[in-house]
Amino acid sequence: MQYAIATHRLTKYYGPRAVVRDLELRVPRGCVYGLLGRNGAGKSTALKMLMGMVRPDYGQVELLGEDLHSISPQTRGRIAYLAEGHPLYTGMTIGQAIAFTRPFYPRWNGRLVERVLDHFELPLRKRIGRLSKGQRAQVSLTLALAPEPELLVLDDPTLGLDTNVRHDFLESMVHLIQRQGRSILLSSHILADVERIADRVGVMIDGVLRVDCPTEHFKRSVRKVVVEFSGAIPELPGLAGLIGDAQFGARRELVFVGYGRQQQAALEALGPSRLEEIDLDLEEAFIEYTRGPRRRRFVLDEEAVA
Amino acid sequence: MTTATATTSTSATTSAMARALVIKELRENWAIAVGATLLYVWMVQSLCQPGFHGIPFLFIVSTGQRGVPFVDYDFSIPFAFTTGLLALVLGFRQSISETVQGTYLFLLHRPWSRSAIVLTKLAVGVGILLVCSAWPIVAYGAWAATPGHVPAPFEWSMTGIAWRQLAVMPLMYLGAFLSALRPARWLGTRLVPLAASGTAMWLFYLCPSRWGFEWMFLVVVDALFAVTICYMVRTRDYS
Repeated sequence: MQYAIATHRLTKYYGPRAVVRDLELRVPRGCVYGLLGRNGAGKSTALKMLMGMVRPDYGQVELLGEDLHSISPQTRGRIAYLAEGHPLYTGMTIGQAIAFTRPFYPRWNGRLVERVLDHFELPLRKRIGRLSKGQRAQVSLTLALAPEPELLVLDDPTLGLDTNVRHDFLESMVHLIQRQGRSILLSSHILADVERIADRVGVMIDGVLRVDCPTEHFKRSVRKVVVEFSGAIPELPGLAGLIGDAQFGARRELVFVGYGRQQQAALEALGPSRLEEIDLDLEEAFIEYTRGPRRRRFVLDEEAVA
Repeated sequence: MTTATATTSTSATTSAMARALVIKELRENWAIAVGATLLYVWMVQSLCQPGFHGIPFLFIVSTGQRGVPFVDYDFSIPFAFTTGLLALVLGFRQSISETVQGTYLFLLHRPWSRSAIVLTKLAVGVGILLVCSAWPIVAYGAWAATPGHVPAPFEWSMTGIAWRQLAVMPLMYLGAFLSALRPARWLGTRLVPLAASGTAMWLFYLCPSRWGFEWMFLVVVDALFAVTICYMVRTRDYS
């Protein structure tokens, strides 16, 4: 299989702490890949290493088949990168930003630029420093897409945007990126956004890529099972794949990765009054998966409220 | 034939990229250039006054009479101060503004080598510095060369001191640029490149002037700073 992005043991230390450790990321060509993780999980550092903005302490990166160390400007021109916060020159007008960016690319879709600016009513003479966050994101995306890149790397592109603007941004992004063969690596905190567009997800926890699979597979793999008992709650036997366990009175909520017949049989043997499997969406699956066994749910009980 | 066409196309693209970057740098730094020019205008205009009694410029004390143009300190001290200030402001401004806005991430992702990008920035900075600071020497020299203005003979070779002052200022500019670019934990270590450039400027004045040794020294040190800046741009983390 051909990969748009392939890394081998990519590692970065800040002081003694490994913020990214042995990252083996493979983004197939034509795939929309959502890179997920809590704050500080190492997503941004990983993306910056992929773009050559942070030097790895160890490991290799290949972009569109070329080693990052010796990547040619031509290949770099086929890759778009939207850094977190959409950094642009605030003193420039939109027109000046376009005039500055255009000469760097032999291929430039001026029609697309015109259409996007027209659609979002962004006047060329408006200064970037005076744009709202959403408008700046639109300009940033337009500048990234105008050279018709084969690979887009987007670092939390909807961060800080309100719900409506985020929705519009995402709609335009979905519309604009739907081109055959275009590969996208997207990191985001907004799981619903990722769920809408990503074919595949990766989950980073403490600098390590713990999950790398199709989005649907991840959602199917993480299951919540609710068991209720009429009497005292019995001791749970050792259950394979159990990653979360919370108790609310006579009810117990268990989270499994790879829940199957074996676990079901073990739970039924405890004689519960109710046993129910709950499907999770990507956000719920992500929360349950990344919560970890040490991070117990914070429950406001009567004592705490009083 | 195809290769020739491709080469022409590449060089055309390169010149277009360079032009775009030069325009951007000029647009961002024109206010600094205008500010420096106004200071120089005021300085030269003060020097050319018939009843000149020295420039009330910070630590410059009026001597009460006009000195020999370029040889005495009437010109050289305010000139060195203004040019040094311009070099510092330009160097820090060009680098810090990219860091503060986070635009190094945008700029360095352009499909052009990082060395080419930063060398273009430096060329514009040095260009602004030299163009803004050269004309006061020429203007004051032309005034001094006009008979009746100065009660002493004037030779254009007397401007040599000022030209030497100007020639050494790109070092200060490069030191400031590198100080702003290079990551450091605290201000003291951040300013190490600036201190190094100051030392090199001092050494330049100590160099023997035979066989152009001083100029060779200056060119080598300037080149060392430029290479270090290119290396730093390529290798530092933009986190």
